[in-house]
Amino acid sequence: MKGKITLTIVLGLICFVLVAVMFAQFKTVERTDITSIEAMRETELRTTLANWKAKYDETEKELEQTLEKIKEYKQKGENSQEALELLEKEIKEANLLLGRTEVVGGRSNSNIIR
Amino acid sequence: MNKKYIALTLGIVCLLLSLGISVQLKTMSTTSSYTTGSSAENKLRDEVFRWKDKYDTVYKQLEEAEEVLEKERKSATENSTEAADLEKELLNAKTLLGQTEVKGKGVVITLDDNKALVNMSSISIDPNVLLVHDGDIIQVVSILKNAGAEAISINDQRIVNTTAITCDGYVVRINGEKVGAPYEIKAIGSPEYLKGSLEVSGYIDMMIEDGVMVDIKKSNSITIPKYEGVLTHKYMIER
Repeated sequence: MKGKITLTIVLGLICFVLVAVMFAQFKTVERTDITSIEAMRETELRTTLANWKAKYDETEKELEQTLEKIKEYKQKGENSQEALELLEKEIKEANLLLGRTEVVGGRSNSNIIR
Repeated sequence: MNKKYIALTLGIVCLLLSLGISVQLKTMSTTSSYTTGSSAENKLRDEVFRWKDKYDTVYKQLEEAEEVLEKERKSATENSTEAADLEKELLNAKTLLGQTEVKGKGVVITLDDNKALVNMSSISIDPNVLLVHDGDIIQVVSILKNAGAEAISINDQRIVNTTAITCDGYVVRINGEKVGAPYEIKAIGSPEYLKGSLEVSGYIDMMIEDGVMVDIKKSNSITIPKYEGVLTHKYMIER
């Protein structure tokens, strides 16, 4: 009789530990799922970071070009012929982006129009 | 016999317990490697915010510089008719490039996921067909362009010649920005012709049959914002 009670208690304890381990396992798996989503986000963050850097570089270059244009208009604006040349240059660039001119590839430095 | 039975039962229970503990330990070690990645992710997130701030600052400076350039251009052309004509031509080119805000009559198309049906688990329809996909938007934009739309925007993202419309999970990426349903497509052009072209194409009917929510409205006053970004060319040169 005493042996049976001891066995029941031992089995009960082992089952309790087993159930506890199972619960811990479920909880860990759940957390692992969340961290895997975060890992996916990390990849996305890297792409986003690269995009912002590229956008910043492009915008900074464009700002430089715009400031350069302002300087040119200030210097040459009073001479109508030179102002015409500046406008023609800008139109030429715009037409290039609009696809109105035949183009060839090969230049490596960037050129931005606004 | 009884002792053998007890030993066997205890043995099986102990085996299960050991298996459970070893699986738990293995999972924990995998999780800790993810946790290391998480701190790297926080650094990345900070970096993203830093570069976004830098971009916002430089973009604001660019907009201010643009205004100054516009004024300088105007003052340089005010005394010459030829220069004023060229300035008009430049403005026209910029409008076509999508670098200015434009207004006019046209159509407003709203495409939305059929959320009511998607959430009904009992239906046997593939929920994918009830959602608006990048392909649907591309198709609608192509029909509008073909019908002579002069300016198009999707949820205020101006469509320019460098615009890419791609799928990004449950949302769509337009001009690199995430855009979610409902998608409001604004197009400036002849309202009758734009609406008619959409109806005649059959694509709208196909989407409606699939269960996608579609609404087309003609409008006499549509405002389409300018393209928020930079149009560059790195490799091409005029021949």
